[in-house]
Amino acid sequence: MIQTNKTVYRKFLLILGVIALFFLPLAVTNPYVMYVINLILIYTLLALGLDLIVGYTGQVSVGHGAFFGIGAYVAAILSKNLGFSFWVNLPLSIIVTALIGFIIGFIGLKLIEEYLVMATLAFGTIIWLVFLNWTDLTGGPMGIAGIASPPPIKIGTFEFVFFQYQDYYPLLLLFVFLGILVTRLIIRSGFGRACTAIRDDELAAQSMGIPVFKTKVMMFTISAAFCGAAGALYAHFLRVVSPETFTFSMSVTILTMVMIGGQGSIAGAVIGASILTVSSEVLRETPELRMIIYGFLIVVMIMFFPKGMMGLFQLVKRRLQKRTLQAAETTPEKEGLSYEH
Amino acid sequence: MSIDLPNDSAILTVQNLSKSFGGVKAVNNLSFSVLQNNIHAIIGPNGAGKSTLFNLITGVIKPDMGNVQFLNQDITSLRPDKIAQHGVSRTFQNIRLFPDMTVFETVLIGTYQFTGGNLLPALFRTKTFRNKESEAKERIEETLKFVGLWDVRNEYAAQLSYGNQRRVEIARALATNPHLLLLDEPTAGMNQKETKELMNLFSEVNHQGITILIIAHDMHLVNSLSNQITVINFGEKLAEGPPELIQNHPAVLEAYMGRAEAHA
Repeated sequence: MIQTNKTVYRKFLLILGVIALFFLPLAVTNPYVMYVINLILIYTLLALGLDLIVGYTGQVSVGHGAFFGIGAYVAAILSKNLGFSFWVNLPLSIIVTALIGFIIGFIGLKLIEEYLVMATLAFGTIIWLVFLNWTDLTGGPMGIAGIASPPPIKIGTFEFVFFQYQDYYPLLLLFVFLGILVTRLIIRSGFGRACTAIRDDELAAQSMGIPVFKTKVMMFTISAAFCGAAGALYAHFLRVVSPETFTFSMSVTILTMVMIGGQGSIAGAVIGASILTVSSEVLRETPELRMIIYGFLIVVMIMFFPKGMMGLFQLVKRRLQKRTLQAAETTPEKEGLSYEH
Repeated sequence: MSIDLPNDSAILTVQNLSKSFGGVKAVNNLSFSVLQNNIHAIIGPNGAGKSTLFNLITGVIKPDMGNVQFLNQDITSLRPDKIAQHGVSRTFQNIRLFPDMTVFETVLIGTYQFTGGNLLPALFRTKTFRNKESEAKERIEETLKFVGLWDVRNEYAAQLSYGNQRRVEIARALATNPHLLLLDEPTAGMNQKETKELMNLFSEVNHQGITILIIAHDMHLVNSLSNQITVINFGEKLAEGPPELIQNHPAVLEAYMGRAEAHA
């Protein structure tokens, strides 16, 4: 009984926390801070998406910055050239990115490990060159500016506008929660378990009846779709897209988020995105130093904490639990007296 | 699970199977049949091609020649996952578990073909999806109790004792609901007690109507467990028959004991 009460209590706290998060703009008045928080949310979606293929399926991609870019450019082009609103562009961006993700996955996932890394690297570079040089469509080095904000939503007398950073924040938060929900639903299904099995031992997974290639391609497609969604949200948030955002270093940044936060962990994606977004804002003046620090961090994480910050937390938690368990064993008379709630 | 076949008809037929690695003929023109409900043993000296044979049957490697029939269907050119879906499941000579999974999660992987890899039902948590999930979990509970791992279901499979890791592998294979179970040296590196317990488990599995094809070194195990033995050496069939026949077969004695006598 105590146990169920406790989980109900936890759920209640969680829901309260989620609702409270939506009211964050009331507490944060500095627009720059709000801007950085919004960036964190966009990066969280990217990290969640990349983690699906890297953390849960064990296939490393260093080309996901390109999917982010494709999502952003599709939204920008549709908005600028055809005057489509955000609500149309978002699903279209997701579909186009997923489609390209499917094609790249279908070609690239026939390769293994380092060859897949090279293939995604090449793909990322090609897409970046397309952004940079297809001036008629992408605006070349100048990019595309003046992308419309999402049109307001009217519910009764309330009107939700998405013009300023604090207005855009709840929208992003909603999509991050949606992303977390979808991730959870995927990983807690036969399909998600199949991906984890492939990550851990491909031959054993296949011998259990799992179609390895098909499963990988499906997950790669979903992973790209996440980045496409993040791209559309990014384009309508900043209202300008330009090629220098979607370089190789973007792909590496997303990968670093996953590595530092902890592969195969939703909380890890959130933590990784937060740490890296804040640090890259802090190091804004010295971008060359940034890549050195990221490289160093990846090496340190792989060597000492292969499961990232979440792995570290879990280790500490397990140690603490062990200690309290030992403490409880040495003082058994207290056990009957203390109960919660 | 039951198939409409007379008890003595072949469930698996291997015909003229050949596979060479470079100049080495690992499996050479090998033919044999595994009869329904048998425990069929494959024995032979090290390097005789036994594991290669398993990899050929399960589609991990493709043969140069010959074919494999399972339940009267040609499965020679199929992928390992398709062959598994036909009802052939296996364990590996070097135990292959999923390092980051508990015992329960590991065995649950075996239910993939029943829970399915479909995404939309998973995203919308449809009723069919939820039913299939809970069904699969109930089946895993049954399987884990059957192999004696229910008490350690929440422990990481890779952290169990060697004997129990082997049981996890067997449970995972059973979770696919196979007609034929391939066991690649399941008792290698085990003490007598563990070996005996596993042998009992294999008989129980067999009693459930699952045909077993087992690679083994332990002659005692083979003689007491199996009712048909195929002896192979240098990838070729040396002899075949029930244990009492094989025990005294001159060619087998030569392959196994001949050298031992010569050294003695």
